[in-house]
Amino acid sequence: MTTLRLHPWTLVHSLLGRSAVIAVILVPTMMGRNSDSSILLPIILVYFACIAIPFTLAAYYRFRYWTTPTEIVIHSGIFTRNKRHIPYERIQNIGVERNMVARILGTAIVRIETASSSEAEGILKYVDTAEADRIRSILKEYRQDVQPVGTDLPSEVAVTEESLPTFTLTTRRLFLSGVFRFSLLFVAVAYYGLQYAQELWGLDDAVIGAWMSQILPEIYEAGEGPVRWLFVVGMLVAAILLAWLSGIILQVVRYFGFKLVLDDARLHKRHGLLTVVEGVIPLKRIQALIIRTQPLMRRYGWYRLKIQTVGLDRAQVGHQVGIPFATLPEVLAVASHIRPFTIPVSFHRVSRRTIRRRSIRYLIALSVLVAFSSTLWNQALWFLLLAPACLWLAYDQWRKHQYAIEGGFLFVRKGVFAQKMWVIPKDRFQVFYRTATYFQRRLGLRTVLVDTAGGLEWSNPGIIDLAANDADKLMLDLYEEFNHQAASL
Amino acid sequence: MQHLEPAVITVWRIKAAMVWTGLVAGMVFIDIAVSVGGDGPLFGFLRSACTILIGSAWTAVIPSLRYRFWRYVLRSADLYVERGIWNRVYTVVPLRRIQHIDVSQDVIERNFDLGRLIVHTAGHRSSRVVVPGLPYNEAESLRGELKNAVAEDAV
Repeated sequence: MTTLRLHPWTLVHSLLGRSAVIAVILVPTMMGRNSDSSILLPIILVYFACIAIPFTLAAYYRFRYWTTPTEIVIHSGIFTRNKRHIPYERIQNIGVERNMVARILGTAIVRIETASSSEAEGILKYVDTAEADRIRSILKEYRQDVQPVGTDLPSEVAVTEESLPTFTLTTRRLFLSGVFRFSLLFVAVAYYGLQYAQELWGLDDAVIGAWMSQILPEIYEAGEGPVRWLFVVGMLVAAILLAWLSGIILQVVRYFGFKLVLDDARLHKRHGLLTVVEGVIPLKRIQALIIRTQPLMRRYGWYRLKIQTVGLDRAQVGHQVGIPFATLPEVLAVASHIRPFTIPVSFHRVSRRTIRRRSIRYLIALSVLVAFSSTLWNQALWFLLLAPACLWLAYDQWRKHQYAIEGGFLFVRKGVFAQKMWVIPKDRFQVFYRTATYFQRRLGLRTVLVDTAGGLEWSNPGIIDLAANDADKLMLDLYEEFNHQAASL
Repeated sequence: MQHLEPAVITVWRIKAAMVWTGLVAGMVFIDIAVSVGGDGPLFGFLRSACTILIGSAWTAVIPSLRYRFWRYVLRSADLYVERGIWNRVYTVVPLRRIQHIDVSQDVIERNFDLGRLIVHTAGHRSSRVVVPGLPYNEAESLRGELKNAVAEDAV
């Protein structure tokens, strides 16, 4: 175990980087008309003597790393000292990067990546080429010792698409899917169209402003009674039609010729009208499945499938479209091919006290909003008529919030407008949370969340407002499922 | 259940005081600018006074409260963490979900010989689970224990 330092060229690299910083700050001042270049030199000298050189040296000498038979250890940091231990078995990828300068100097950047969601876990910037190869080969040897069978996927197998389960979106279906999608794209199109028209015909702002602020109200004023209403309704219908039309166009452009092919290890996806997007999602990178719908789509039996993934590439982390538009049986067929499961017959509900907590929250939000807007507009008090809607929302959220554990999966349903169902396999559980805010504690309520890799903060499968006992039981059940899976591995 | 080292309260106080001193300085600057700007001392130095008041109350109360609700224990298969004043959060980190481990120490912590154990997992919310206010040796030995427990497991 020898302690190693980075290649000495690192000093030059980082000093160059720090010089660039001061250049960026100073160049604009030098460009100034009445700049006094005589103070420039002292500033630069002080910067290098007090900041750039000491920090570069300190960072270089504080940075040490070494490899043991089981892990890579990295010590770093000037003021905040950090000691990082990365076990080999956690390393997913070691990237070696050589840019122009590095190549000339015979150095490389080594990036050590684990599955952790934070930024690249270990960066050795810079080491010489031989050292980069050594680190890579250590990992390779370790892998061969521990896992004789390569875990990597077989390289590109010819996909005989006919024999594999395939999902395609017919053009008719594609248009239908657009029908359920409203988009405000037309607002942007109208805006740029107007700008273009302005330039083309040399109109100035005043003309268009006059049209917007005078002619439209004039039409409105000119009519009386029913004509006025007809005008308002006509404008609304036009806006909705435009939103509808642009929704269809967007959907067609994005998902034209959608095709999903499933082989034993991967999902192959291909779609798009102008830009054809092709993607491969290895099944073992899939963390959770999300079946989505909204009230209107649900009414006619249409659903979407989203897939939560993590990958070696950070762009692959997050939610990806699995199927943009299909019936529930079709969605389930594909989903079950990815991870075999059946939707449980019965779900549990959270505590009814959630209705009380949510109602109070929404009513307070509404009152604050009305109080603020009534200082600006004296008719704002009418919005208080929305109070029953708050109560209904709270009730419906309770009704639609359900969960179940069955067959090694956690199922969580939630959402009034965007209705989602998470399907999380127990072997993808990462960390368990049980939280309770002050108000929740007063009502004896808890929130339980199973954290997964590649999830989203604003759309998580947290089970909100369980009764305290139920929450404790659920935590135990989930943890037991998780450990059971651990034992069977 | 383990409590943190009580010295961490002082560390948190120092850090809170630093942040609030910055805010107070900003407020004093604004107040001076307003009164010099000729608008007259409408509220005098009310802004600064309020910030000082809130800041000192915060610095006095919050760190000790935070300490009171902080607890952790390393069990056979998981790291269990309990924390939070307003939102009480219980976290169970299964050891085999740990990706890598840091032991970290900043300048203030170094003066009190304290360190932080940072556990990284693949979980989206739990990419960093931090246990602050540990005696530095304790943090290092915890790291050693965790390391031994980390088993083969991939995402």
